[in-house]
Amino acid sequence: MIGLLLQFWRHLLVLILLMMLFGLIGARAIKLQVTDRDFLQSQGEARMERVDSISASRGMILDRNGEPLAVSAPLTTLWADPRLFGQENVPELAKALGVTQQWLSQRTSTQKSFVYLKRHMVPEDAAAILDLKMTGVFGQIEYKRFYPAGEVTAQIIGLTNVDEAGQEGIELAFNDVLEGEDGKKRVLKDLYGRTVRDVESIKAVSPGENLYLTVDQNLQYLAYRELKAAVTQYHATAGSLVMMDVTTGEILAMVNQPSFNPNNRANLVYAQARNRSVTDAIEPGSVVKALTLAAALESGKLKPTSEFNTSPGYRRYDGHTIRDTRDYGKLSMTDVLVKSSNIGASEIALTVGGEEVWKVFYDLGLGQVSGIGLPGESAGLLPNRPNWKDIETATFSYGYGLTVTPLQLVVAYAAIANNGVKVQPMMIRDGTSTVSKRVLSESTATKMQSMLEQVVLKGTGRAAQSALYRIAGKTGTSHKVGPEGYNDNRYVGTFAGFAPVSNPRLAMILIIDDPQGEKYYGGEIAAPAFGRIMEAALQLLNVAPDQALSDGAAFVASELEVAL
Amino acid sequence: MSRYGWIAASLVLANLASGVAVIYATYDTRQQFGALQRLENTNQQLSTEYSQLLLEKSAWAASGRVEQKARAELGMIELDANAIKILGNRK
Repeated sequence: MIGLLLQFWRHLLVLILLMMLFGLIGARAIKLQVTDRDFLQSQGEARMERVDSISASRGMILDRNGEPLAVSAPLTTLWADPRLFGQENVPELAKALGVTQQWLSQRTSTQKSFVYLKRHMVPEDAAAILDLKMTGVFGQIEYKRFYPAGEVTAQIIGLTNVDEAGQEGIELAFNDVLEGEDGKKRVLKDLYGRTVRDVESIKAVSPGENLYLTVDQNLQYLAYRELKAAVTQYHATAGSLVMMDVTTGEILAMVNQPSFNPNNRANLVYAQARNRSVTDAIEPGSVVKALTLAAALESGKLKPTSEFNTSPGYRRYDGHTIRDTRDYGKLSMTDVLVKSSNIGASEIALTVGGEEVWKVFYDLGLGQVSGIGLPGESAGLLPNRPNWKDIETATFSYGYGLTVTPLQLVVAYAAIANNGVKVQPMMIRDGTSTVSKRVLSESTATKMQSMLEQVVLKGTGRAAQSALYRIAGKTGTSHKVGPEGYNDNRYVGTFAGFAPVSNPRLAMILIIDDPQGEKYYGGEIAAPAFGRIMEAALQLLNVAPDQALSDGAAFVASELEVAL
Repeated sequence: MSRYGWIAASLVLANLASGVAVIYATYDTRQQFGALQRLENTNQQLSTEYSQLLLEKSAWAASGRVEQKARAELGMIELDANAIKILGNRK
């Protein structure tokens, strides 16, 4: 046995050594595969696997008929990883991007792992650069907002920032709905950061929802065109218009001047981005007289025929003088509205009492936010007082000492038009039902309707007449407030009303702010545009004319040919 | 072969079969996921095209442009009260 061992000891030694080597390899394998497995696996994944986010598209904003008002289009953003990017590629890439070599080499010689090269490129152009297959240059899809209707809907739609987050208007107010949720996927990347393989989807993309507005793009355009024309013609600094369906509370048009082009915000002035119709509270002036008279009828103390003596055209209350444009003598309540007498309105309000007038104003929605849900909405100011002084009640009655937004006024007038039922205005068509509340008795509302029609038939609002539709409304001209109190030669011209009187469908307000020309009365500058817009809007909505059309004025084909 | 031998053999076979099934499932998942990615890319391309077409359409159909064409090229006018006759008795 010993002899055998001695004879083969070399073989045995080799054999044992070899076995030990195998054992070593086996032990190492066990260590790697079993003991250190988790650690090694996680390290490998950390080096190879990446979680990429898949960007969700933002929902569209459309008008009531499905016309797009805000659309997201995917664009490509090029970025670079400076740690991977080779400076030798600078000349070629700079040429392709249309930037200077200096800018590019500076940009790419940092220690960061991410720098933007160019954001929001047309996909084809970006693809051409990506096809150069430079190391460290990547493309990423980002969405950019486009606004097909441009400045016509600019303030109501609002804006998004470069990262597509809502900044203004509906884009801001409904950001949560519009914004989708980004998805996530796991991918394998190679040494150069290129995606080699998509491993699995971690979270599916949920794209943003589309939002339908109550706005009608055609009416919006019509209103915009006419308001712009009026603001230009009378050299005014600003203007607003709100058109509302009186029975549903749907806002059909809301436009403001000056406007801006939301597709090019290089020279955006934020004053233009403001939606004046809801953010700016003004002293309304005479348009409020209609509401004072409604309060008077509602109190039951007065009738449309009740008479008031306004001679001699001025009156003193608590040491302050209130004036009419001339001495109107004795006026019935209807005539107070038709002639827009400040003294008449004051006397009416004093008969009813300040508190009572205030309450009707409040019920009609003044001094509170409308509930439309647009950002930056002002509630206006409707001060209530423990003791109403005569001068306070008087100025209140013809629209001073309180501030309202154009939207609040249109809601109040719509309540009169809707036979005394106030509806909450809305701008989003999402199936929510109309919120309404009776604020005036039906008889008060009907009386107010015919009184307001008189204003257009024979009063200050004659310029708003239409040959097709019976229009009712009230003019207003108020002094603007400057640093030294009321300005003698700066005005706000207003017209608020509704049509057709036989069965009111639309309520509207038109405000021309600070006209610089010779004309400044609401009846001169706001009423004509009001009449034109109202007539055209009702025609577009296919509302049958309610003016008595004479039979003689028949549709004659030959006449039409002449016109052509 | 003894009873235990059979059990051992069938367990080995089952083990092998499940191993193959795992390979197949993994392979299938990758295939499906690849197909999903391709479809998503197509979706991406189509939605790009859709939004571009939508924008193009609304540029052509812009109210101002339609109005201008209607007036200038087609000679359309807005009817005034004199050119409208109501047919039949509305009341």
